Amino acid sequence: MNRKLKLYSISAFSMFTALMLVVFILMLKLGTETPGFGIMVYVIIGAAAVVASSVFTLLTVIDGGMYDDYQIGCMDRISVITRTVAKVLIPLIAIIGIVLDSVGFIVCVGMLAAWVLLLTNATVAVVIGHRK
Amino acid sequence: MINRVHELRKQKKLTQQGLGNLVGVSRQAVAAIEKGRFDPSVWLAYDLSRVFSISIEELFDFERSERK
Repeated sequence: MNRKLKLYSISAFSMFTALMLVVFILMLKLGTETPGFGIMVYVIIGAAAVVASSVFTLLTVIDGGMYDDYQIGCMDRISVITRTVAKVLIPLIAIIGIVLDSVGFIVCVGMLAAWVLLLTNATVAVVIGHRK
Repeated sequence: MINRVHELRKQKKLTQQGLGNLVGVSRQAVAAIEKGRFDPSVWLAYDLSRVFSISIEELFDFERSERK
């Protein structure tokens, strides 16, 4: 057999999702203001994200979650793209947050943007793992 | 890498999925090897050559392939 277990995308995704929910709840407790939506909306999104990440984890470990070298190469290429987007997007969000003078915007929107990019990696991992 | 995987797989009447199962890789990996978009590892090349009962050098054309 020439297969490797590769769950790093899902592990990073799950851990970050849990961290994001904790941060949102903490910000709710601190009464942080966010432009546009209330912080409670972000908490609800965070809770939904935790459910989504659990589903992704299950989908990946079903059938052993094994990937071969070619599939890992595909996932690595996608990972390079999402990391590059993150390097541009996250600082941009920070700058916008500073202009708006909103810590809530920087933290909430920034973490959500990072989560979406990790979701992309996780989705690719699931799709590649289950494509026949 | 230029190879005869597609030709020999057809001779043995194997699907890409079937060949992948024999050597322990995905159908996508077999497709990528046949199109020359993916170079197999040494052990994968060895396993493929055992399936077709030929040497690695007969299966993969090292002379005409571009060295990476």
